[in-house]
Amino acid sequence: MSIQLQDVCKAYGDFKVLDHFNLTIDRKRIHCLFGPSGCGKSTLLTLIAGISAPDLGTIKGTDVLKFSYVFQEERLLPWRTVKENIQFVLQSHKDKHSAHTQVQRVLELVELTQFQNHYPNELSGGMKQRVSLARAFAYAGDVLAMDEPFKGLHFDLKRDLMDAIVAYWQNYSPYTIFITHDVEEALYIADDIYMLEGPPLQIKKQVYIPVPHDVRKRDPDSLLPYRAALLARK
Amino acid sequence: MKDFIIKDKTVIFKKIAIALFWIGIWQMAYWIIGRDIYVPSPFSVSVALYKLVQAPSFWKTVFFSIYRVAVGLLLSIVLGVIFGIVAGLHSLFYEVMRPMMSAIKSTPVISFIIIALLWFSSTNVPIFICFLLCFPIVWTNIVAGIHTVDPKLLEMAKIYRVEPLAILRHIYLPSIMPYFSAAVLTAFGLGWKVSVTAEVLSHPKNAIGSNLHSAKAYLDTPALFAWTLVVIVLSILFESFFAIWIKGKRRDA
Ligand SMILES: Nc1ncnc2c1ncn2[C@@H]1O[C@H](COP(=O)(O)OP(=O)(O)O)[C@@H](O)[C@H]1O
Ligand SMILES: [Mg+2]
Repeated sequence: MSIQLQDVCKAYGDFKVLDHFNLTIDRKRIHCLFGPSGCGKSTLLTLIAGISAPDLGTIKGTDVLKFSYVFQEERLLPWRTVKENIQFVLQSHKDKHSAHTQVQRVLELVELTQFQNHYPNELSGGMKQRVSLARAFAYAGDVLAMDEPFKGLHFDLKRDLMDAIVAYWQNYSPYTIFITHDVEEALYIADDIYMLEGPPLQIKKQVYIPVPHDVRKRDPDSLLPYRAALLARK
Repeated sequence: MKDFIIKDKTVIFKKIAIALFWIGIWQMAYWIIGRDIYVPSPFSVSVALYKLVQAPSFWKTVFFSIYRVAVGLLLSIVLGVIFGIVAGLHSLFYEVMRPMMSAIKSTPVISFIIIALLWFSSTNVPIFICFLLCFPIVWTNIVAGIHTVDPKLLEMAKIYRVEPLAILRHIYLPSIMPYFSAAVLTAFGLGWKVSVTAEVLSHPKNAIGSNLHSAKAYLDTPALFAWTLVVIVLSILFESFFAIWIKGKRRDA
């Protein structure tokens, strides 16, 4: 099973963002879309999730999948509390009690339990970002698609959340794709990094990191060659 | 708590002072003009009002006028919301309805009343006029409210497969609510004015407008002022009840 993009094209007017783009994504690795701002990463992720449709080409394997999507902006309901914002995506849960436990579990994960009754405008940017992540976790989709999920978060919390994502992936093995332009984030959790440039979007280089996640944590030096690969020009 | 009471008291005191100031101006106008038939004194209007309220027909008159305004407003709100939602969601409906709404808004009320006099029985003219004038206001505001719904939130709800009913309740309604309450408040004020105007011309039995008409016929200016005061008070009461209701709603939500 995999998600396959074949010859995907997408343009805004005459402006080609994707031009015959190909990509295959599986559940065995955490995939990272790494590239400068404006190269077309968000566009690619919305195409994969079916939020927008390609002009040409095919995207296979996504029809039956549920997406836990972390948007580049938080996209919270301003008139609902943190807790209610997460409950919002659990409407279809028949069992109210299990939905409640789920909400409390993810709130704990992103360390927002004390803020569950606050409204979004009472939170900092980083806190809102965590609510958006918590919502994605709670929904438990088949795909965890995250567009710059760690922006605005300070280091310790970022590390905890990245550990949580790795643990979540190890437990449930969803398709996991995240966008970043931060080298440290890519090195810490990605197994498969697509170094992108554009537009039109192109894979400049693909970097595999076969180092297990617990080893990366224990021995940061194990990542040195990959860091060099990511930082190398051309 | 104590602070609050003191503040409350000063607010009330201020309001009374402002009311007294304007009554003073009115009294002065009466002194300067010196003829009851043009400007009656606050005192003679009070007497006229007192006499009105004493009359057994007063409450019946008020009740039927309220009934006409209420039915007209209810119709305009219900239909304005339904058609507003349809037009807000489908641009074709919007394009089709917009010219009619603009036409209604810029047509003189009196033209509609004259037409309505031909079409309807006297008691239904004010209802129709109230509906006709308030409907475009509600419609326009609902459309504007729907157009402010953030497409990014809708996109989020769609990807998380939230059911349409929940999307309506948690995204559409909260976005529309401020526009809806503004529309209703405006409609309440306008509804009273046009409905009473229509009553003056269609003179149904038991109507404030009919009484205004006869006050004019008998040159009974104090009664004219007194009935006008009644309309103002009723209009303010309507608005206050709605404001309180909407406040409660907001607390629930
Ligand atoms: N809705 C849109 N209309 C027109 N141009 C767009 C739109 N969305 C994105 N773009 C353009 O497409 C390019 C890629 O955007 P995006 O996918 O958001 O890049 P990234 O996420 O890598 O920063 C950018 O140059 C951007 O200006
Ligand atoms: Mg982006």
